[in-house]
Amino acid sequence: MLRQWLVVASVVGLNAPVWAGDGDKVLQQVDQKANAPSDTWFSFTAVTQEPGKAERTMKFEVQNKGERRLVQFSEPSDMKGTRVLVLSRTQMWVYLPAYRKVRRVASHVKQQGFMGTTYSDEDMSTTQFGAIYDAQIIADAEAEVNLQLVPREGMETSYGKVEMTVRKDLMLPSQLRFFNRDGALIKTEVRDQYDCADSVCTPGRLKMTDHSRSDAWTVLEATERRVNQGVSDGLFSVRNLERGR
Amino acid sequence: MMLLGLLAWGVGSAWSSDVDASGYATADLRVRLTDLPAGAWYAPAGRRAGVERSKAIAGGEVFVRTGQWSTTAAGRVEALDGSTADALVPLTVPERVMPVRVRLDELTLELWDVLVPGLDLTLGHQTVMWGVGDQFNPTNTLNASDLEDPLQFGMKLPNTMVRLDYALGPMWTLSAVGVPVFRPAALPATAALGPAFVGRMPMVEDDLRRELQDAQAFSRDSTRTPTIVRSTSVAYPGRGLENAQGMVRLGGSVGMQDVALSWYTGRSDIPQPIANHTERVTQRVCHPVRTGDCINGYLLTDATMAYPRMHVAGFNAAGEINPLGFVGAHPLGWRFELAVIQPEQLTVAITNGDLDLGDGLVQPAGEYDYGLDGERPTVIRDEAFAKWTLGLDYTFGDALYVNAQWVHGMVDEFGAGDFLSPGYVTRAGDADWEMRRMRVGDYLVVGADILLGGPTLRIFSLTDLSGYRYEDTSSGEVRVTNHGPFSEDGFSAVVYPELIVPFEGGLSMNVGVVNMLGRDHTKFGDPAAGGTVAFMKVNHRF
Repeated sequence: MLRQWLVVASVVGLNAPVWAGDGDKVLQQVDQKANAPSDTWFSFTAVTQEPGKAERTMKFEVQNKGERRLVQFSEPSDMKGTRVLVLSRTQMWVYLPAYRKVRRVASHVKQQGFMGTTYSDEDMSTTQFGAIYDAQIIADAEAEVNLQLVPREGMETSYGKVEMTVRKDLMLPSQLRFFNRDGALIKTEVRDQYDCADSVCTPGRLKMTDHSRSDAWTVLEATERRVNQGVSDGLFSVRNLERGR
Repeated sequence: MMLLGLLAWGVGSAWSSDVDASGYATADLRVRLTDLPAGAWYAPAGRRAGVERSKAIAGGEVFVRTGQWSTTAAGRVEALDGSTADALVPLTVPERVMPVRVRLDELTLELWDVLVPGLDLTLGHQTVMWGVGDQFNPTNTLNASDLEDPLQFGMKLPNTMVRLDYALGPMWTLSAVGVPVFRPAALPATAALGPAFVGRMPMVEDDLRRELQDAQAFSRDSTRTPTIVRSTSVAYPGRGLENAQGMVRLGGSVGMQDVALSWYTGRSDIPQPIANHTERVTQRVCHPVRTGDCINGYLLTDATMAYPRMHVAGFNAAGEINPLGFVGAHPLGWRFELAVIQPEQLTVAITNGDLDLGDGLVQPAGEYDYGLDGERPTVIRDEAFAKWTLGLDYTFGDALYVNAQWVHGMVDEFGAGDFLSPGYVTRAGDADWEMRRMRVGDYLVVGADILLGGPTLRIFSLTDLSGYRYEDTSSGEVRVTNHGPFSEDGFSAVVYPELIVPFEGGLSMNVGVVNMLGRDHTKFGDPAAGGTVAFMKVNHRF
């Protein structure tokens, strides 16, 4: 009954979520919601814990616009001044202050953790799941819907499958489970503490657990955020990586 | 008018200041593991095993951003080991008893979006680092090489420059840099041992060079008057605008590959000999132990060196290839950096005072009769040559990164002569023989980072693949014996393992050994290259 109402509501222009058996449409809505602001800026504190090791804390700022992303690290001291530019899933550059050089990030590095975290470069550069995966609804409950994402033909991705739990009230993911090509669960990401000010919802906390590394985890906490600042496209240039240093 | 425009633009876009500062403290201890002998007994020039360097360094950087411009200042203070006080009076000068060195690494004013969006102007004391090669960058010729510290190989010396960058979209940048005043490369302390090897004659002309080898040996053996280099001076280019350096570069991406084209005009930062003057000094000196082993004097040579002009056309490309994609492997990273260098011709003037060599042999004062139809001997031919770096890298899982490069031409190699167009330099010589190698050599660089949980084991190796040739002229003909890169006389390599241990709070420790392998005439066995040194550095960044 609820599903029927939602379908009707969507058709009559209430712009409500659609998940009546069409996973791709649900995923499209998730992507649209996640990328709704014209631009976002976050200040993150990242804590990584690997079994048997001390916690490692990083601080960085992320400026997003569409699929473009500019990351600047301020802590720890050995990473200060490091910047990463993401223009697309396959176009990523890093500025290394110690060498004063900009380098393209090669694919073989992307399988490693992003700057020592449990997030990979691929995780950090994926902003539109619908561009990479076909989606199918595998469970539909009152508050959430579960999607199974499999790579589209010809798309290169490290994952053989992703299971996404979508909160119906926000149409945004609350959990992502990443599987390798053999079907084994290798990572789980939980997104919570959504901040919905200014009609834009963004997770205040993200936790990625890497089951292939003895459940090592990284928690990203957004300590500050700004949306729709009218950021210039020129900010997302290779030249800009070198600016100011 | 332009200045007024800049000022108006600056005032109009002023913001509040944003200040950022960072610093570091480093304790640096190096120990030479074995003696580094150089020079004959009458002119010893080597270095003893023991503490090579013991320094404490404090450094930092301040970055101030105000609106559309920023200022960056970076520098360091180094407390040096030992003392430069060599007499009683200097011992009363604290600065000489306890020497300290101050170095300014950067002082720049960077203005963004000057006059038009995307145009940036950077003025001041700065370093421009270009080139896709890993530490071996033949197209990166704007700043002089900083070779003073072998552990910092690949670094450059800052210089006062004017730099313009214009962003042509997200991936393309057009840059132009002017360098008003030339700055030479900083050389390692052991480079001073080079002149001890007087058989390394730089002339290209074979007959003349062999004639000079014979004359030098005759003087040493028959009249007991060996040659030693008394001094080496350098002649800097003048401060006229004709000696300014400049470079333009266009860099960007084509598909998934980064590419850049560049053009540099300026000078080589490594000096080449242009004059050699010899005087005879009569002074009987005997070996302190072998008392019968005496000399009757010296042929003291004063050498002058200069920095030859050059133009460099550069090409850089980097990207990925995936030869094993069909088995699911990730692509290999590749990079290629090519410099085609057109040098000016450089000749050397060989002069002497009256040389009475005994046995009725007298060389009158004046310039040597080269027998080259009035021309002086050539040190560098005006023939274009190439240097390049071709590299591959790959990451295996989470714990192993491997990098391999073919380096054609090291930073100190200059002039035409390689496997494509043979030309040689003399690495050792005497009467009737010389040991020579290609002027521009070939090297295999292999490096690996192995993550060991927290610490990283970094292994770097550099092997000379050029080989050496022994030229025997005792029979009146030139008989060549080739020594391959893995033969006893041809092998030369650097093996540099390093353990990097990070601690909490920005503290880290680096421990390792730079092993320089090979005989004295080889690239890395050469005492002037530095010899084997162990090191430990503890660093705190904040």
